Amino acid sequence: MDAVSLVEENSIRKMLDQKKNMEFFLSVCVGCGMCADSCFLYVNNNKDPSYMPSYKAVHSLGKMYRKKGRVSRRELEEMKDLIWDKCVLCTRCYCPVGISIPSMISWARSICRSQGVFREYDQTDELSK
Amino acid sequence: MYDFLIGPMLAVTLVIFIGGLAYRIHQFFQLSGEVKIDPAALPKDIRTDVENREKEEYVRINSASDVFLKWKIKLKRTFLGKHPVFSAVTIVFHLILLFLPIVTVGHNVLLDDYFGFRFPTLSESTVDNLTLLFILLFLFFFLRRILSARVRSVSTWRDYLALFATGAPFITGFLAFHQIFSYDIILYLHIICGELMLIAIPFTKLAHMPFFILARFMIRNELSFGTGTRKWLENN
Repeated sequence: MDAVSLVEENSIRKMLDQKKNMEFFLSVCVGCGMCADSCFLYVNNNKDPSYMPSYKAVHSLGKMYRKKGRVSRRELEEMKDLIWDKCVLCTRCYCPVGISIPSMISWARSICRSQGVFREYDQTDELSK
Repeated sequence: MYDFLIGPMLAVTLVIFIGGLAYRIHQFFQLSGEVKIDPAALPKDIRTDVENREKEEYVRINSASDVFLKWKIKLKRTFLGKHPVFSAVTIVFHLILLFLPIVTVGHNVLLDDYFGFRFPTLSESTVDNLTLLFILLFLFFFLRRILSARVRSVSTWRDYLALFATGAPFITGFLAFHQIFSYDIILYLHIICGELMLIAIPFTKLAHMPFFILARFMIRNELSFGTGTRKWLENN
């Protein structure tokens, strides 16, 4: 898909509306940061906060909810790194409050895919930079 | 002013608080569904393994140190063993938050006036000390939110709002008890802050109060307390 083409805000909004439970999740996440240590990518990447499960969910799906679907293609491209390269959906993350973080990241991927934003098969760090 | 705050205003607050909680609970039951898993349908070897694990038979207990070992292993598997300091802080913080307002003498006098019943109370100096402890723990959470990179990276104004909505009634209560500044104004502020906190619970990040109980006890997950019987519904 053309990199400059516009995103369909309505279809993003429709997809966001389908998951009321995720809106609920985002409204109760207290940002305690306790999910961090349950993520092996966080532990093995010098404890970089951007690898934290809640960071990945809040700055991808959370951003879409906050902007009510009015996200630009550029923002979706920025999320790509967060939800594909920094998360492998191993579903090991622990949330003290009981939020299902992987389901949110997975749905953020689905929304990105619907707009033609996805991780290419042979894309490595060297190639993308 | 005082009569209004502890009269009609309190009634409105309680209606919003209880109504909001009921809405949140209703929302949870709408978004999740019952899932039936028959334990007898599991393969037999896995079942015995699970049963043995529940009974902790992997640690043979011959002496007192084995008991400690058993508990150490048990705790190491949980959040309590991984983050002992944070666990202690958060448990004490939440216990004080829930129970201190109920056992305060002043609150029970009002309760007795209104409804003719009262809860057991703690002495005023104990309540005072626990309030001070609560304020210190509140400062711990506040500083952690500012200073810890991982917490800061996911903080928004809504997190600060929730934190201050919780801390304000205790800080003003402490000031009112010690009669610092004008007693009347601080007391009004104390009542207003307390009422605002109750109103805020269903609608801000403080909604984790009902959500924690519902999600951790009722959703079936390897980390849930007990055996949950529900799961989040897809495509709702």
